[in-house]
Amino acid sequence: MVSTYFIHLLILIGIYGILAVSLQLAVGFGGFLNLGHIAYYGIGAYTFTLLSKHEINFWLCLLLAGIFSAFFGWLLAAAVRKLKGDYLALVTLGFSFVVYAVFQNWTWLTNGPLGISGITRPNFLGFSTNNNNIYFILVFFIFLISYFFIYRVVTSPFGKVVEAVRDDELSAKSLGKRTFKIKLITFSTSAFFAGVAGSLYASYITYIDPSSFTLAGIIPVILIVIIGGLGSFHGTLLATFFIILLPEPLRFMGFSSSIVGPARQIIYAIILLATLYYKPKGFYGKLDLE
Amino acid sequence: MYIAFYYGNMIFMNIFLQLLINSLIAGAIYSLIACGFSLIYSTNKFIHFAHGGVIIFSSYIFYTLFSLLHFEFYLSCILTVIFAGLFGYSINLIIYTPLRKKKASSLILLVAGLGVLILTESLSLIFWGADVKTINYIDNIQGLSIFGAIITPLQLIIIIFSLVFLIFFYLLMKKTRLGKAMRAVSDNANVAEIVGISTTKIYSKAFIIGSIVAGVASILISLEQNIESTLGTSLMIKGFTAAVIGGLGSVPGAILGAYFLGLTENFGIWYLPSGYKDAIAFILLFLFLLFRPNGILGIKYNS
Amino acid sequence: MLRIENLKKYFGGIKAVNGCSFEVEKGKITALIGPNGSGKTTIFNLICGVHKPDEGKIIFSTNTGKRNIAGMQIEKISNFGISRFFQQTRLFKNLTVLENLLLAEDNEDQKFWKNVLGFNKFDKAKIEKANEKLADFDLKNILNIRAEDLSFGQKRLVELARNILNYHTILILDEPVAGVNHKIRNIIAETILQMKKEGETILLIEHDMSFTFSISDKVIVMDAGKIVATGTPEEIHNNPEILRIYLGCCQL
Repeated sequence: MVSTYFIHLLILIGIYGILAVSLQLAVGFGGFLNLGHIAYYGIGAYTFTLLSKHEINFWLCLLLAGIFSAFFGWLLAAAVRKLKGDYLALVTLGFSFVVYAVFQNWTWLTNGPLGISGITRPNFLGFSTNNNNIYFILVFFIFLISYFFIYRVVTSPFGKVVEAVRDDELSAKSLGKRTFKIKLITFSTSAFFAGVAGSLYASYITYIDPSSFTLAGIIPVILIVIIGGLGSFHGTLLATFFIILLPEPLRFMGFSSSIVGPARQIIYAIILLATLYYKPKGFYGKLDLE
Repeated sequence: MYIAFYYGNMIFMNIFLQLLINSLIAGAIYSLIACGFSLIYSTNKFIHFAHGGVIIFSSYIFYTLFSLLHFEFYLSCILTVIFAGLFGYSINLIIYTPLRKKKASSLILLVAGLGVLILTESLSLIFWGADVKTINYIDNIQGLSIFGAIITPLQLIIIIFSLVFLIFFYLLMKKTRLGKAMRAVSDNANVAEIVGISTTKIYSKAFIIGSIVAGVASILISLEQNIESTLGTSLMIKGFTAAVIGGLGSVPGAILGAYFLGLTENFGIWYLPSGYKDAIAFILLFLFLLFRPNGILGIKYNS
Repeated sequence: MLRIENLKKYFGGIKAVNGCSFEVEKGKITALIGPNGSGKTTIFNLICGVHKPDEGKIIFSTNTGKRNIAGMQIEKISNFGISRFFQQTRLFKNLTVLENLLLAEDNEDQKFWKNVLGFNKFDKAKIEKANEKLADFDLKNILNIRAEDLSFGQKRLVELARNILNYHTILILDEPVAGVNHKIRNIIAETILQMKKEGETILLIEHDMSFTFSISDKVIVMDAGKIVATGTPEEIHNNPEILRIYLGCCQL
């Protein structure tokens, strides 16, 4: 029983790890505070779910869900080309509200508040992943690929251009860099992996509904990115462990489940506020949120 | 045939009038929220997301005082409004001011406000539970009928009260010293400081007044609608959509935007399924931010 | 090499650049001087694509022939061979000195898949090249320092190195020696003269008159958006009109 619980936590860490690292790419490296990142998570989840209901191969569903999310990442990046600061943050938020409203209301496609259940799990290496232990191995595998891919992006020369665009876009342009194209690529990649994370989430819980993709959903993710440190890759992974594991003791304190949920949010909100005040650079970060 | 045409027109008139009345009610509520939010934004120059938290807590406090503890109605109102003002003031004191001392950017303050909003939402869930609360005050009185459209006395009171309140607000901003000082800080905080206005004091006063207005809005909303924990977030979004439509930083614009939003929402669901009502606000917000960030009037405000 | 024809730029009611024409000859150092607000930096901004002119042409000799680059995108203009050194330091502050320089060397770093799959690296040859350039400036061992942490003078030198490493047929320098100490001023002066010997073309803005007059071939004087005089340093230095415009403005 204990190991089942730990496997569950590890799976969550794997999924949130991909989600957080994808946001880190956009925020820490790209300098784009995308408060609507959770929308890509949701788009990925719903796309994956709807595709998998048509008996399409798991990996294909995963890839297509990622690509579809990436497309929205591309759209949002293009849309906010001329915006800065407050307005930029608001548009990203507005985007996630619109996406949520679509999930909630386009019942023909998404089944609205009732959600979609019965999402099947694939076979991996010949074994059925209905066993969570096997599912964990699948998640871990995909996590490694995602983490490694984004790692390659940020440590390569391309990653340096991305950071240069973040630090001084005009200067980057003056060196001949096509900064708009760089941003489009960066933010679609960020969205792609958020979509992958969403697919894994849908596949794990085997049920999705719009309530997982509300405004509150962005808090733990942005918290991980800030605590880990903006611009720090490995810090993000460490912070994922910390943030996922931290509220877990609540389960064992005898509270009812209707308290545990909000209590977890309260802990996240308080840590967020504390981090913004005491350690806005996070633990391994090199820059400030601005 | 003429009779059919006549009745057809009557029904159209009925629906049209009903939607118009509903728009006015929505506009009345949104304008209070947008107005308070805009005042805070125009003076403090950052987006105070936690305004939604002030609204939701005030609603629950009103419910607690009036429906649970059975305080007298007007007493409950006054206490709620005082609470709202104090709560808004404390958020500024405890959260925003320390961050500002550390030269936090407006984005950090935005994220902090978001955190406080989620915090209040979660606390509300814990203290009052997830079930929907209703306050029965003026109930079951036959609504007035105007050409077939129905408006309840409560709704009429909301519209009138909102307008009266806004007139007071207008007088405050235009005629009093405080109002002028606030407009000065909104225009150019540095210069205001030089002429001897204490910007720190104006910042907190803006929070107090803006939150008091939110408190009034919460009471009206609680009487008219059901209360549940996500109300704060959704009203906050509507409120600042209205502010954006009217031009962020303009208080009269916010009021204009609020009625525009009310109209669009209510006439919008003539065509769309009613579940899309909230979505209309989100889409308007998104569209305005992208294509007309300076609002309907298109005037650029300092920010 | 670079010819400005009747360039005009208005900001609201202000005529920042009000009909300017001049020529920058290949292989020569041309200086643009004038009081603050005379429009010098605006001209640079117009040349480099930061602003779009309201009227006029900017004819630049690229490797595909003469082109009017007025109103083109900044990155496109840069790739034609214009390399700009800004008045404010614009290093990528969170990147190291090495990274700042390497980004200037080529544009292969923009190719996403090529980079992610490992076919483009910051290899030894590129790092050597960056190191050599720094050695020219007497800066050793700062490759791995964050750009933000350098002293002001070091920053300017690194920025200049970055400009030189970037593909260019003309260097546009906006106040290269403003605010630097004597030692660095001399290094920069020597570097610019050395570049001229190697046939480079340079257009610069500077307020430090002794510096400017000692290295320039041609001096163009601006005032209130117009060009008021053009000539060799001697001609300009001995022109009483110019001295009058400048009185109380710059060091002589």
